Amino acid sequence: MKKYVIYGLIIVSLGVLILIVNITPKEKNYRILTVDTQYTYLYQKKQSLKLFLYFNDGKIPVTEQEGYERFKVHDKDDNKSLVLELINIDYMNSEQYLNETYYKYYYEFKIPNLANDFIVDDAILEIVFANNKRIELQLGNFELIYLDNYQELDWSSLDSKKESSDSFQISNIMIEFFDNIAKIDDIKIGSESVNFIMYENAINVIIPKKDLVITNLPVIINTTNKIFVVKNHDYIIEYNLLEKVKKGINNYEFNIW
Amino acid sequence: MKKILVLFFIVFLYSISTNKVYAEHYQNYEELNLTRGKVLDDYTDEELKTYYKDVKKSKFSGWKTKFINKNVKATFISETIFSYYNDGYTPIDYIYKMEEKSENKYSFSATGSISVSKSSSKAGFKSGLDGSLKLSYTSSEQIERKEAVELKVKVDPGTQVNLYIYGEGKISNGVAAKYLFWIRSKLGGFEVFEVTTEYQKLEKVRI
Repeated sequence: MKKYVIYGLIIVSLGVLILIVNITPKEKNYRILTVDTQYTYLYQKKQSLKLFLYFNDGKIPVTEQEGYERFKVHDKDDNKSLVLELINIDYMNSEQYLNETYYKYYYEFKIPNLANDFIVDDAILEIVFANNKRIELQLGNFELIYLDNYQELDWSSLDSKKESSDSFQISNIMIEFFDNIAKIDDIKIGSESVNFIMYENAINVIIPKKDLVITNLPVIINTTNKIFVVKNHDYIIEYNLLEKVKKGINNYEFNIW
Repeated sequence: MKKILVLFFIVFLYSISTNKVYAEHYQNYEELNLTRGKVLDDYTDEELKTYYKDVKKSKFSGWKTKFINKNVKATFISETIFSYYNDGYTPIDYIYKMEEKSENKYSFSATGSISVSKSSSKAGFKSGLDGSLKLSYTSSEQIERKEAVELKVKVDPGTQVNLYIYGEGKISNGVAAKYLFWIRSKLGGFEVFEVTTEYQKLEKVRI
């Protein structure tokens, strides 16, 4: 009889233990992802810049701007840095990565009006939250381009192409224009000169292949007597980026509380 | 007993009579091409009947599903997203902002007695079909936030700017049946379209 009581007690205790384990809320492991991206922006008064972050919880991040103290982009050694002024945070879409749902947000900033270009390869974004906790995230390449005298190209059509549907960067930008351009000396996407094919009132700009996400670029066209620009444009929107990018996803534990 | 039989008969009639197609925005694309297979609308009743055989064997409760096409790559050309004509005398900085309350990248359609959920925050199918399909959208913990796509463009006087969207996606479709106490309560086709890439083409026309 005593034996049955002991067995009974063991079974009840195990049951209670299982209940406690299941009822106790599991502490969620919050994570942030960034994807190495070519962030290249041409300074214009009304142009803003956007950085993209993924969170594994839909209720974070703090979407109120008051939740943040400071955003700073800098190089590895912090020899070059730039404080950014936040304008807006907005949700974009969700994606699956390692059996988890990640929510993509864009952080929109004012482009500071500098005298010279600000170019950082392997840039780092430092975020200081309102409670003084901080995190550093890898961004990819970060370029702010400043031009003194230029003219916006009077384009008639802007379009782009990728090498394949699995690619995560544009391979070509096709520009048709009304302007009369006799001879092009050089075409740059940000600070980098690139190859191009010239047609009558059209240019096919060839974007070099990199291990970076490239979806938005300015195009700078140098002719003998003028600089024409096509300002930043989101040529493509990728909804399954995390599935396509094999390397270049940076995964961080995130606990601001 | 007679009442129960009448009730069963009504349930049966309901399950076979509703044949409404719930159209979603991908069905309004100007062009949609699949690398193989076809969209649900293009299957004839005869073709669907052959697939229904796989879900007609009754079960105690829940959904029986049969995929005809799963994650088949597709390309699409959407309708013109916006056109803006500046009839003034100075250039205008036009901002186009598209906000969707739920996941914009997924769209759904159904035939027969399967229904698409019209809830603003949770997109998918009604009556728990989502869970049985085990597609990528079903594991998304959908959140009640707006998705935003923003585009800024300068429009000169006497000029019209048009935005076109074309791109790539994945399509999954098939047939499903729902059972309760071995009685079939729903039978029809389902289709999920997932946009993977959108190309934004801008065009200026001088008028």
